[in-house]
Amino acid sequence: MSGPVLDISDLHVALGGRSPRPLLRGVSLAIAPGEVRGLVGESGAGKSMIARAVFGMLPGGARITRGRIAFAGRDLGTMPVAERRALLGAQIALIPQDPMTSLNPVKRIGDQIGTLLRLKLGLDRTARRETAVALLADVAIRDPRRVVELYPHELSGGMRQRILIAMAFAASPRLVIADEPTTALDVTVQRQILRLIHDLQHRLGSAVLFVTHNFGLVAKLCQRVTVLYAGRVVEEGATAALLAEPRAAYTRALLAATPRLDRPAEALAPLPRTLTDTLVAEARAYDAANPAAYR
Amino acid sequence: MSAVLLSLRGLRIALPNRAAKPMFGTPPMIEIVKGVDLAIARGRALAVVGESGSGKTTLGRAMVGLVRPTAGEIVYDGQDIGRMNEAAFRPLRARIQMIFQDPQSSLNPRLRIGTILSRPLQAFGRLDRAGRARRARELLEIVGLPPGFAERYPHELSGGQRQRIGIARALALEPEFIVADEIVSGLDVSTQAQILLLLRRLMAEFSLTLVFISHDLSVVRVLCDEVAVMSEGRIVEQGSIAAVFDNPQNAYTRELLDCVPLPDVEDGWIMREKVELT
Repeated sequence: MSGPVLDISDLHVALGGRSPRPLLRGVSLAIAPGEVRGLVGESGAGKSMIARAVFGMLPGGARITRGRIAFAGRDLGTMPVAERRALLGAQIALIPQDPMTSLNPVKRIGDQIGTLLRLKLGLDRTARRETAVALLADVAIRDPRRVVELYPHELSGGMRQRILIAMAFAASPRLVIADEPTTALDVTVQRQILRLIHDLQHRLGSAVLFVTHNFGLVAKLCQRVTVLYAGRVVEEGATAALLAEPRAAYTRALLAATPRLDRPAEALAPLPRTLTDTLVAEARAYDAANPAAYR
Repeated sequence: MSAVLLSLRGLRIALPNRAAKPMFGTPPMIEIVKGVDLAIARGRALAVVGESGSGKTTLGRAMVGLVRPTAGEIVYDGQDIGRMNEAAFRPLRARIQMIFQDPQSSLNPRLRIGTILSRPLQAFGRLDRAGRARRARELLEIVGLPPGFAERYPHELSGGQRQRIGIARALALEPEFIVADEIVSGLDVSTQAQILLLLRRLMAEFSLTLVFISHDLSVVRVLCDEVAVMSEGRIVEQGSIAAVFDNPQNAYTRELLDCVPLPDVEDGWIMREKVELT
């Protein structure tokens, strides 16, 4: 197997019908099997939109107007719905941003994991219970036999995120999309979570698309990184090279605007307004030149 | 005029533990701040850093008189504000301000920005109506927003703009001391940088003394002169930012600093030890 596990090409997403508002403007992105890819951008850049498009969970009114998303060589758009649904949660999994709202508050942890195991792996009751316990042990949860009996509100944010990670990796997925999975967590917990994702993806050979606004996390976890602005890919490259010598002016500016622990205040430079204005103008010019892309 | 503006001495604060509240009756008290000594000199910016539950927010609220201590003193410019009644504290209130974490919920959605900015002036009976409107426009200019924003409502503003309004409102009464609680945590990198640099400029321009509460250690370095590291209600280390960040003495401080991912590729960072799972 040599082709990319995820191949997004020329993806256009627009919101609304008569005068559509472009959200993604021809994004191309290919992830190799087992690769950990960072997807960086500020809010509104479209990074979560890409994740949602892969899952077929675009927000109301938004739709793919051009381009395609292929998983392991097969077009997700033309695939029968049932087949696509079978892939999601099994071959393609999601680690959501907010561990507080992503678990069902009225179901025990063990039952929630059990439902996933029944639907995606077809396990019987006994096997489900044992597997759920094993999965929790896998994400370093102490006393997993007790935790499967608990409800989400009895657990800390870090614990819940570990459970969601266990669920995402439960069926040995080929692709995991992690949508800012550590935003709400303290730094010490954040490192534990990164370590778990790193361990599991390594062991299972899953590719990961790691959506974040934090270059620090990308530097520590990802082999390659794609930088997004205004729904367009600004730059893509190997993490070390991109951080050391960013080619795009936007990437350079974003790095200069990131406060660093090891640098005094004088090093900080806010993003120049002229730069973002130029990028927005370029995006608009592209829209004007390609009206058919959003119909 | 003494160099020290605010000093905390043996400060202890207990709050009702709502999580342990019985169905009827009053909840038990739980100690959040467990004996803190801290002094802030005029014109300096002190960072209070720590993880969630460390007590940093409660400490900040006590500094502005929003929470009363159970023991110890909060001495502001020579007076113990922890024991003061509301009437005695009122003249000080104008000099002490707080900027809140979430500009979305700390700005009244039904009021225009101009009204929001003139409310503190109104509360202290300063200026007439026209004067307050003028001051509101002036405040907008100070935080780098066009005067026309006075006519807008909070929902028409971006997160960064709303946080600027929060700052402008704190400046309305020309305070000398400001406590800012996690005010850049929800913002994008570029907006964050703008707000941090704005605060730095304002500190110099208005000779402000600042306490900046944050869980994000990188942000703190840009703005503050000194840092106090909190853990479980106590300050485990304090000193100048450069000294503490470059040469931390306390094990917890070291771990906290080590956990912040710098944007440099570093093999093995993820696997580095002292990862204790609870």
